[in-house]
Amino acid sequence: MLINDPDIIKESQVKEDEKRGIVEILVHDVQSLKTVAQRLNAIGFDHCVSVTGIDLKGKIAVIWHLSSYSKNELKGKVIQLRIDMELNVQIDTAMPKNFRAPMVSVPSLVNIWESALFHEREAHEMFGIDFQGHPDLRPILLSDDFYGKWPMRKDFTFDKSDIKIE
Amino acid sequence: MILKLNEGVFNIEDVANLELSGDRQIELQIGPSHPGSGHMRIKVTLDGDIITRVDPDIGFVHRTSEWLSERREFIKAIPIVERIMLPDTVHANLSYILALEKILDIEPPPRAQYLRSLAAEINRITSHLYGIGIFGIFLGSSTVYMWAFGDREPFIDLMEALTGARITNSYIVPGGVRWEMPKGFKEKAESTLQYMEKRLNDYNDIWAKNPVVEARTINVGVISSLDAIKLGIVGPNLRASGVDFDTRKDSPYAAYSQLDFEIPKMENGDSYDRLLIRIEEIKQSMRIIRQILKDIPDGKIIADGIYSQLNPVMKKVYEQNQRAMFPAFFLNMRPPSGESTARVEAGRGEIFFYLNTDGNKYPNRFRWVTPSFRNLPFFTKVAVGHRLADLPTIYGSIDYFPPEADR
Amino acid sequence: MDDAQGLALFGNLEDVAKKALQYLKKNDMMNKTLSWGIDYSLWPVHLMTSCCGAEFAAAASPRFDLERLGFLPFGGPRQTNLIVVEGTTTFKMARIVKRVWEQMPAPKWVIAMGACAMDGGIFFNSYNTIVARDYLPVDVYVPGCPPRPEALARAVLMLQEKIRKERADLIQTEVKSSDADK
Repeated sequence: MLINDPDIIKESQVKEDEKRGIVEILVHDVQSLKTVAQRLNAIGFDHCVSVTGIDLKGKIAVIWHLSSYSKNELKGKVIQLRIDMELNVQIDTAMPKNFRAPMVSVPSLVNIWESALFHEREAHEMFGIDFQGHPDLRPILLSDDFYGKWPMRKDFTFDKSDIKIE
Repeated sequence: MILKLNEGVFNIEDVANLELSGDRQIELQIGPSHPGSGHMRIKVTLDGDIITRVDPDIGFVHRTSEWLSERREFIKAIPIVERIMLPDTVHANLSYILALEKILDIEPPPRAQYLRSLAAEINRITSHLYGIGIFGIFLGSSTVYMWAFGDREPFIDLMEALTGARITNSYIVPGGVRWEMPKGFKEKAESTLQYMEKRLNDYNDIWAKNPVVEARTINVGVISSLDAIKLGIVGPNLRASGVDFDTRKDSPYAAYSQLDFEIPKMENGDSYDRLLIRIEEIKQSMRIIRQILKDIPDGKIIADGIYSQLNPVMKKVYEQNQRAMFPAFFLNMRPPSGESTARVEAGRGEIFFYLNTDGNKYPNRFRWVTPSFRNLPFFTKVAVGHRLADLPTIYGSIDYFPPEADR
Repeated sequence: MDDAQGLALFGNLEDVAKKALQYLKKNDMMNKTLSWGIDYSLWPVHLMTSCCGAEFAAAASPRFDLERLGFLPFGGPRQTNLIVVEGTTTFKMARIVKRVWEQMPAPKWVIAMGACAMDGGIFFNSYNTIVARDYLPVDVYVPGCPPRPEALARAVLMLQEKIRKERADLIQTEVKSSDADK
């Protein structure tokens, strides 16, 4: 077992699949996310490889992938820290009014892993995840044509039939 | 739909407010139509000549590869993934197929693993030469640009002899590779490698030991090893700062666990080290190619699970021309539901793949992170405090390729 | 015959001038000279739109060497007369290309390079891409994904032929109309 820290196992459900390269830590509750992340950082996972979401019907799963540069026994492993959030809650954030609510709100882990800065911006504009505490949450890849429409969700539609520039 | 033209332009009222407040900082937009910017816009805030803030505005080549791949069959994601990472096509192809093979539970034969490593190392050499050429253009030396792009051509000829295409090969498929090594390939590869060794001496004399290049790159853009770990930097930029990490050694794939090579590492972490480390990596890649050509085992180039699905016409083509055609299984593939990750060391850094399937014909989640996207903190953190003329030096030394950062 | 006006080494200057004008009108030398000048100095703007830029850069390299045709990438749009739209244009980049196009002085031409600029390529149904002919008047299309550098050289030769044909009747018509006035 790669993860056998009792604090982490108490707050989450750990699943390991060595052949496929999956070590998943599924956190039950959004309040304990930061404590689990701090324990992982103390073990030796010192940078964030990717932050993304998955659109399950009615829920959005937020996944952080983490790895280690400094600890030799952890160098070849990538672990994923996952939390599933319900989608039918109205969030009252400081976003402009024409945004398509509902969004999903999780705490940002930028204070723990600074390498997650740009990845969280991309997950925000693609899935509509609001990272609370992120210093600079703006769109990074999308222009104003699609920001607010959360393109990577499964119910995104667009109409490109008669397009011109002026 | 109508796209308005006047978008993303700064407001003239903001400029007036700055003048009234007495602030001497100005914002400069080094835009996409610039010889020193690539396909991105860099918004630089300057105080006189010193940079105080850099805001990279990327997304000009955002071609939505993840969105498209989730609406197409699994095998059709290979060309999409290749065209996003154009100088490193074999590595992008390899990383996707490694993630897919983990879900399908197929193991390619040993000869196919060696051929995959061979194609990957030739691709690493062309990718590093591309990086050296673009760095030369950014510093103003078009001689090195012409030399590097001219020296890339013999290696692209090798890839064309092996696979039939110059750059976008689509060589690696689930189960193995598509083409066998042709006759005369070993002699051609050996003569190309001997030519490149002589040329590397020229690069050392003209480029690496050049006093102008040394004055412009030594102690410019320094990043310490602790900062590099904290910011999540990848690739030769990480190894030039002294961190000992290479995916080929730490989580090996293809034939790398049976090959003998070294990982070059430098200490200072400035632009000069990032320039030298690429030349050292070319030397190590040539060493790997020589070992592969000597030690490659015999056998099939495609796994038995896939070979048994070829129909008799395709099997005859395989016996005669040593070429694996696609069975119908590839198009109707419905992998079992599950998830997998894969990591591959490309020329610019580490590619990460996360694939999530649920038994359908299309992937449920296709997520990949390219090395240039993870090297973005160089702009926001490292360039601050330098002069404006050091920005092209830093940009060229990290080998940032905008189409792969935007995916 | 007025010998006092313009006695030259080869006869009467006015006769000689009339014969020279007839020769120029018949062989269209003015147009041919101007077209030859434009053909061998087509300078494209230094605007890399997408991944076909790697083959564009390889085409300018020593093996394929487009500069022998006068094809020199140049920095600013005010001194260039060609745009090569390489590869896919996204919404963000298309605005930039259109703005650069409007800043270039006439006469100017467009080469659409690659399958993505022609009809969308493999990114055709993406939400962020736009085809080149929706916002620019394209002259030459180059198929391929990416096209070989020799294909780009062929496209420049086809553009040269098109320029010669377009300008073939330009000065002819002006001369004819001034003849009709007499």
